[in-house]
Amino acid sequence: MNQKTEGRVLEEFSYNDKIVRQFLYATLGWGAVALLLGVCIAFQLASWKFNLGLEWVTFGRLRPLHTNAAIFAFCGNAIFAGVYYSTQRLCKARIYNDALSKVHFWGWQLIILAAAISLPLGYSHGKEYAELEWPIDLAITVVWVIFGINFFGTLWKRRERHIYVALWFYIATIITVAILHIVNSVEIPVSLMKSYPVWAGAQDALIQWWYGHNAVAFFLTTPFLGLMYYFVPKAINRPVYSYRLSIIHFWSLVFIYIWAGPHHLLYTSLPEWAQTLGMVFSIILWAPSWGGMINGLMTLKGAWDRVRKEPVLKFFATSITFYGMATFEGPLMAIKSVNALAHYTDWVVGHVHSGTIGWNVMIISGILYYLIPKMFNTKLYSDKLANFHFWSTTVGLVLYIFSMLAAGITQGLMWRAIDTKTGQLVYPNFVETVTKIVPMYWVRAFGGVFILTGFVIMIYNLYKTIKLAKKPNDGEIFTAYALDRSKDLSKGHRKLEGLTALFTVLTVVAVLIGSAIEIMPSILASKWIEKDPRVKPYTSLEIAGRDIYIREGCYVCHSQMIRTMAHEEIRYGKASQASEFIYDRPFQWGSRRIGPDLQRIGGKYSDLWHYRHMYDPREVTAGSIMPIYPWLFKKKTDLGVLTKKLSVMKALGVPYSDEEIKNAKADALAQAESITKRLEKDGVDPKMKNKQIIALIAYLQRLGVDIQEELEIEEEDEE
Amino acid sequence: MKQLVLAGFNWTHLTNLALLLFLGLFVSMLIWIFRKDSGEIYKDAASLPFLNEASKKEDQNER
Repeated sequence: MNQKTEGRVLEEFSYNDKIVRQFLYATLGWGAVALLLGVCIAFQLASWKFNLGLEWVTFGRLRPLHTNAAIFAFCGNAIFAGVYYSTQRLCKARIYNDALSKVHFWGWQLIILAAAISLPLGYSHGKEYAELEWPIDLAITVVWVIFGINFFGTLWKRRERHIYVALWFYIATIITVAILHIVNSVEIPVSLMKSYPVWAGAQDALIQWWYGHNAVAFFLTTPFLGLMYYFVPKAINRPVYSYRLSIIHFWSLVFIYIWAGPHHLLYTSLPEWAQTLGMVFSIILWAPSWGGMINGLMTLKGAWDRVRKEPVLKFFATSITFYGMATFEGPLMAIKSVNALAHYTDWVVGHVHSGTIGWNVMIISGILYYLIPKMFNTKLYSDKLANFHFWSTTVGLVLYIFSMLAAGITQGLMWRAIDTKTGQLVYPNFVETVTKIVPMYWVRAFGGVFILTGFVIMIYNLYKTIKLAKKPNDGEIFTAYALDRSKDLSKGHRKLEGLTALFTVLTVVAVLIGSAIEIMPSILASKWIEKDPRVKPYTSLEIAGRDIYIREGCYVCHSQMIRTMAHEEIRYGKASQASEFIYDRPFQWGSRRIGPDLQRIGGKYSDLWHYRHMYDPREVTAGSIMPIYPWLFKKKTDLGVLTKKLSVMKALGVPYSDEEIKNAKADALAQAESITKRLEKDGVDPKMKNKQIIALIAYLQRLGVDIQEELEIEEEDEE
Repeated sequence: MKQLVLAGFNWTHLTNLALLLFLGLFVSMLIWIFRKDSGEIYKDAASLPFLNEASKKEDQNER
């Protein structure tokens, strides 16, 4: 019952900790799944045989599942647990609506389940960290909005006038992730589980990496910084080192981070100004990132003896240190001349994992070790096991990072090595640069085993902790005075901390400035990319083949973007131009070359070469680590849907005639017959014409051909 | 018209202006945040996670 004291109402309420526990359990479960998937795909790269010849568990399909599970399932659930726990306490209020909390929890788990089913089945949007198809995209939007309502509703009914720094980071997260997800997922459905994005080619690339980079920024960084600002002071029982620094940290970070996306596209056919902007802002990002890191670490100042003894603090200190290292390495790799070497190599993979494992897994582990005993009003079952977990993760991480750094630099140097006497590549055979780094893949895989083992031990440790504890008292009543709604006499930022609506608007403005300057020119200027009349839309069979390419996740190992560098032009041909991609929905530039670039693969090899290569890559390329694709030789191409696909493409601006759309199936069949006839001479069964391999060959043989023909004409003219 | 204007646009001082604006804003923010006599305000703000744990009903009188 509420009481009035000295004119102020003392209100009674309880916290909803059940929802926090549910998200914590989900974090543990999905964390194990995400790490297990990571270990599986690491072994698949060490030996192709681990792909098992099964389509559902092949690398191209499991890798997106691993990234989605790690980011959205593991980190997502951890964010929700931490945010719900700390927001209630910082606001002195129960979470806004219990029913919405339930919908949020179960909705998010269903989304993850849908991803876990649809990605191995090959339903993929073909854009990194945004692979999920349109119905799941819609569900994500709905559930995220529910989370937003629940969070902002709690802020609205808070009993504390000023919002603490952790809440600022949560605000930035909720708003920005919504903007990123919605803009990057604008797509037109073709069928229940297939859609094409409205963005194409270079425009799609810019928007995707604005999303992709900021998914790291606003899903893996800002919410965890908020959690750091709450849980580190709580665990060490002293305030954050510098509140002043946290103000600078927050505003600089949210303003600057959003600009840095184009550093994923350096030396590509993205406009030079956008590349430079991305690089410059990445370097500027050093300052706020390190501001946050210093603030976190200095909070532990003077208590290093406790850090040595207490597992929670050990995990926190290490996570903040890795945050510092990863945010030092990131801007370094965004410098164009460093990026020239690092891009497309495993160095990037190592860098990403120093962030996701060093920062995210470590801080989540610290939060789990802090929260679960606290919520069950008990002590951790075993500090020894927690220490073992810590060292197992650290050793695994060191193995991971250094093997990938060595693999990346080795491969990058091998790609660019040119014999000064002949002007030719020293390692012209791409597979040489792969077999060289396979030992590093084994090291990485065993590093992953260490990390997974540690995590499983944590699950056991926390399970025992819960089992030996009494049931949590969810009905505990707390009291706090109602929010004083009289005029706030504080000034400046302190006043702003009491005005949540204005604070949110300013955060949106900070995020939108960089987004608008980078993205608006590409959306508004129709002539941003000059059309090349020689670049023609794909034929209907090539579209079918392209969708198989996307389904199999070929983009996770092969790029389609030849950078403006001498060694790339010698190896792959003329540097890619933006005009070549205007019909690419989605773009398939890729971010890693575990296999060679495919931008100009069309016509380079015979149809039979591709046929044999997809059946068993080692038949034509000794030492290849590519999986086998036997199902492409058994499954029929769905030609019936091509009319719909072409009409959707036309609606998006691809200049197909009505005739082409009407005859999509017949044209595809005719092209398939002509390819099969060529293969027939080499003993391939003519019945193969309706199989998926033929459609894929049609697509691969088309890549870069439009421009190649043009080059040949130019050369003839010169003669 | 718009394209003509954009094609003839060569105001190179724009980048310098942007730099000065950003830097100016950042430096002003620094000066303001580290202004004199603001220590108490920040001390209060930083202690929020510790003051916030609302009182349990039975011990509210002790607080």
